[in-house]
Amino acid sequence: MNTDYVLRMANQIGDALGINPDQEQAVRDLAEHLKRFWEPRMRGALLTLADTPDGAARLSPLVCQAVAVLRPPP
Amino acid sequence: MSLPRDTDYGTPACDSAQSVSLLIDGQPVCVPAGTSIMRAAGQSGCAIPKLCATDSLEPFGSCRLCLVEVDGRKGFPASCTTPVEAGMVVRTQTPKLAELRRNVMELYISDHPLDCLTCPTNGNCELQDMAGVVGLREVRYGFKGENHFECSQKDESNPYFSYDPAKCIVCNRCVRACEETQGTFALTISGRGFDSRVSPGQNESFMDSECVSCGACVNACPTATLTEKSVIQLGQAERSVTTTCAYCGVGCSFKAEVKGNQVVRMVPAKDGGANAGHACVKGRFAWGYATHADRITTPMIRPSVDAPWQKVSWDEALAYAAGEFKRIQAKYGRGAVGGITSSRCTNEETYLVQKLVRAAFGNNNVDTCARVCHSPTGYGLKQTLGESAGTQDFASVLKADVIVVIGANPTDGHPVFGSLLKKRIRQGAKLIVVDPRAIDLVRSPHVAAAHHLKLLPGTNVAMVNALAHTIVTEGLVAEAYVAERCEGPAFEAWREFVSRPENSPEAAEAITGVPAAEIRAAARLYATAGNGAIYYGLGVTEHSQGSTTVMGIANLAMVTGNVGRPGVGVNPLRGQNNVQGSCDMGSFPHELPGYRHVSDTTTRALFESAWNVSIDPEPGLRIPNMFEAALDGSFKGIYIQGEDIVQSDPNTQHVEAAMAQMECVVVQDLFLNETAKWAHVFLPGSSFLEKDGTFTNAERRISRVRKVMPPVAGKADWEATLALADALGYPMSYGHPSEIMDEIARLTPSFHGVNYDLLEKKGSIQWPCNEAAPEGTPTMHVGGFIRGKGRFMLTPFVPTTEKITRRFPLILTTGRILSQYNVGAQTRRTANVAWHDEDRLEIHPVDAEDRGIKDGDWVGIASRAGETVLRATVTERVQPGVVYTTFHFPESGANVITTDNSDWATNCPEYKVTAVQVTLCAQPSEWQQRFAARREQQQGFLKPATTDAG
Repeated sequence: MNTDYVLRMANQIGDALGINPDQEQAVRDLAEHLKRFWEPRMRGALLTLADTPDGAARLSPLVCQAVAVLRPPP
Repeated sequence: MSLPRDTDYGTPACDSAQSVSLLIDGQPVCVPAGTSIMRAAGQSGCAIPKLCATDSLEPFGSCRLCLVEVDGRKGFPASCTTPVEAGMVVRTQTPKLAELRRNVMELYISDHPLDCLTCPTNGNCELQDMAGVVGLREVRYGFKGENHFECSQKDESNPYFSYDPAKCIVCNRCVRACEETQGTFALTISGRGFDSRVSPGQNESFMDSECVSCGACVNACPTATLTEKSVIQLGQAERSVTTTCAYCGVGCSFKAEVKGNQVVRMVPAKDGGANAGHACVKGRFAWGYATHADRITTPMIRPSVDAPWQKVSWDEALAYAAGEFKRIQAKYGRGAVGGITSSRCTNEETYLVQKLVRAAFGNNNVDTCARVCHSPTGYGLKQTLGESAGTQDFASVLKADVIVVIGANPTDGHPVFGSLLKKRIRQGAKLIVVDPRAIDLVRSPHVAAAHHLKLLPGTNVAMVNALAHTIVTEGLVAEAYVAERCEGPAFEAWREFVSRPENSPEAAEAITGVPAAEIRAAARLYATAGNGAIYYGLGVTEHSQGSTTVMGIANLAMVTGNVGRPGVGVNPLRGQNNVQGSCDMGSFPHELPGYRHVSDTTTRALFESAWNVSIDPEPGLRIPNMFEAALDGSFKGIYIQGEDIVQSDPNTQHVEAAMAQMECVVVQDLFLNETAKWAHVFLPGSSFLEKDGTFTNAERRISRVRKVMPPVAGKADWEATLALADALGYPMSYGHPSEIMDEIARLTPSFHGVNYDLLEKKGSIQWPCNEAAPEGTPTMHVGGFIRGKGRFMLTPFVPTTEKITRRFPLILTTGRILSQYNVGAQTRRTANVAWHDEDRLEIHPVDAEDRGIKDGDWVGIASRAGETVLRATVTERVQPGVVYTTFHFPESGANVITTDNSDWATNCPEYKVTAVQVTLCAQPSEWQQRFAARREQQQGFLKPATTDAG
C-alpha cells in the first residue's frame, strides 16, 4: 500500500479527531477509527510506516500515539 | 380498449379536522370542511361531469360542465369551486342541468375536430367521455367559421410529446399543472377566443421555452392536445404495471403502460408515496435506453483487456469468472478479490452481491457507489443521531417554515422533490441556500431565497460552525429540547467549541467569502422561524470534510430542536435510486446489513448461522483502497455489478492504472461502459423493467420494482449473481426476490416487518418497519433519538490540502444537470441529449475575460491530477474564481481533473474542490486523445463477438 496514501489519510483523521480536549480519548478514538474502518493491510502499512524514522516524523503525534495503541503486544 | 383511469374526484382532498354534512342527490354525505361539492359528490358515488377540473390541481371553474343546483341558491354554481356547507341540499342530475351541460358540450365540440377514430387518445379522452356522459347527439352550430382546429400548427419540438392546438379546449389544466405541480410557470394561454393558444414562454416552441419537460402538462391534458409521441406512434397500451423509477433518489412510482413487452409510456402513479403523480424528464420519458441497440445481451469473456471479446454462454462465462477468482485467491490470498454492489440495482440484488463477497469470497471487500456520494451521511448521522438515514418523508417539507438547502440542487438533481419544495416556498416558507453557485432555487418564478450564502467551495464546515456560533451566542438554543434529548457533556463541550471567536461569522467571512451579517441573519432565521428543515446533497458530502459537515448539520438541527416531528429534520438528498437501499443492505466493507459492524460478534453469529459460513471480523477495502491495493499488487479480481468506476470515480488516470493491474474484472452492466473496457468478463445486466425487487429512496421508502418485460439477456441481475455464487461453490437458493427480502427481514431489525405482501397492501413502506413500527416510520427520532441521546460532535474546520496557487488559481467544482443522469450511460442513450449533449465548463465573465475566453470557446482545464478540454459557457451563475462542470459524458474527462483527496472518515472523494487553471485551447488533451483511441479499439473488440453469434 502506497505509504503517502496511508500517511495522508491517517494525518487527516488525526486532524479531525484531535480537536477533542481530552487528548487521551482522542488517541483512543483515532485508534478505534482505524480499527473499525481500515482494512488490515492498510493498518499494516501504517504500522510499517511508523516504524521508519522518516515515516514517524511525517505522522502527526496523535497518529503516532494511536499507532502505539494499535500495535499488537509483543 | 384503453386502460382504466384512476378515479379523479376533480378537486384536491382537504385535510380539515372539521366535518360537514350535506345531502347530495338525496344521499347524506359527510366530508371535511373546505371540500368542494364536486369532490363530495364524487366520494359519495355521484360523479359530476367535468373538463377543467382534476384532483391534482386547484379548482378553476372555467368549463361550466360541472354545474349543479343548490337549494336556496340562484343559478347553477360550479361544483368545483363551491365548497360544501352544513345542511346544503345539492342536486347533480336534473333535466335543466342536463340541458345546460349538453349545450356546453355542443359549444366545445363545435370547435373540435371530429377525428376520434384516428386520434391517438381515442377511448382515453375526457372530452369524448363527457360528450357521451351528457348525451350529446348533435352540434347545431356547424363547423364553419372561426375555430381552433383548421389552421393550427402542431409543435413537435419536444422529443417526447406533441402539442396539437387543434384539439385544445383551453381548459388551462396544462398551464396550471406547470404552475402548481411543477412550479416552472413556463406555460400560459395567449390570445383570446378562437386565437387562444397554449403558449410556452413568449410564444416560443416548447423546446425553446423554459419548459423542463416534466410531463405534468401532458398528464393533465384531458384531450389529445398534449400527447406522448410514443402513444402517437405505438397506440395505446394493453396493460399497466406499477413499478419504481431507476433514476434519482426520489424513487417515483410509475405505471409502466405496456403493449406486449413494449413500453408505450411511463405514467407517474397518482398514489405514489414519493411523487404523488408527478415526474421529471428522466423518469417520465427517458426509458428508451432499456431497449437501445447498444445493450449487450450475451455474456462475453476475454483473456486480456487488449483482446477481442468472445461471446459465450452464461454457464461458460460464469465458470470462467469463478475459476479466475479462485485462481487469484489461491495465488494472492483470500483478500485479493472483492465486489462492488450497485445503487441502481434492487435491495435484493445488492444484498446478494455483498453476501457473495462475504460468504463465497470469504472477506469483506465489498463497497458501493455510496462511497463516492453519501458515505459521509452514513457516518455523520450515525455518530450524532444514531441512524445512517434521513429523518423525514418528502411530504414533511410542506410543513416547514424555513428550508435550508446546502450543497444540493433539487430542481436538477431531485426534480420531483424540488417541485414540492418550491410549492412550499410559494406558500410562504422562507428559503436559505448555501451554495457556491446561483442554483435555480436562488431565484426562479415565484421563488426567491431569503439568503444565498454563496460560499467558496471547501468552506462548508466554517459556514456551519458560524451558523451554530450565532445560534449559541445569541441565545437561540432550544435549551429544553437539548436538555431533554441530548447528551449534556457533549453539548457543553460543543457549546464551548462553537462559541470560540474562530468559529464566529466574522472569522468565517474571511474563509467563506460570505459577509458575517448575512450569515448571522440566516442563522437567526433558521433558529426562530418555527419548523426548520435542512436538505443537503453532494455539495456537503463530497469534500475532505464531508463527514464533519454532516455532523455539523445534525448539530444545527439538534441545537434548534429541529429533529423528531414533521416539518423539520436532516434530509440527505440521495443521488441514485437505491443508494439508501444499497447502504442498508450491508454494502459497506465494515458493516453487515442494518449498519451493524462486522466486528460485532452477535451480529456476525446471526449471519454465520443463516449463511452457514464464517464471516471475517475485519473491515474490508473501500473502493479507493481497492485501487491502491491493486496498484501494490495485492488486489487482483473484482465483481462489479452496475457501477462505472472508471468514469465516475476521481482521478481517472489513477483508476485506469489500477484497473490495468487487475487479472479478473467481471462487469455486469447494460452497456459496455468505461469500466467494461478494462474487464475480462462481461455479464449482461437487466434494466429495472426486467426484474422484480425493491428500491429504497432517500426518505427510507421501500417500493416495489415489478417486472414489465422479460430480461433481454435471459437473466435478471439477481439470477446472474446466484449463478455466479453457484459457480464459486456457494449455492444460494431463492426462487423469487421476495424470498431474499424475507431473509433480509429476518436478519435485520429495522426490516423485521417488511415483506412483499405488506408492500402489495401498502404500496410502499418507510423503514424502520418492525414490531415497534408495523406500519413503517415516516418521521424518525420522534420522542427520542435512535441512539438514545443525541450527540453533539466537535467539528473543527480543517482547510482542504487542495489549495489554489499561481499555477492553479481557480477552484473547479462539479455537479449535474436535470436532463442527464450521473455517468449518462442511460440518459445519453435517449432523446435527453436534445437538452444536453456535452459537458461544458461554466466560467465567470471576469475570469473568462482575463483569459480571453468567449462563450463557446474550447478551453483546457489543468489540475494537479490531469488535463482535459471542454467548451466554455461564460456565466455569472458561478462566482469569480470558481469554475464548474458536469461529468455526464466520458469523453469530457471531468474526473481526469479531480484528485484522489477524500473525506477523512469515509474516503468519499473531494469532487467539489479541485484547483485548476483554465486556458484557451485548440485540441483535445492527451488523455482525451488516448480515450478516443481506446474507445475505438474497445468498440472494435466487440465486432468479432457480434459476428460469432450462434
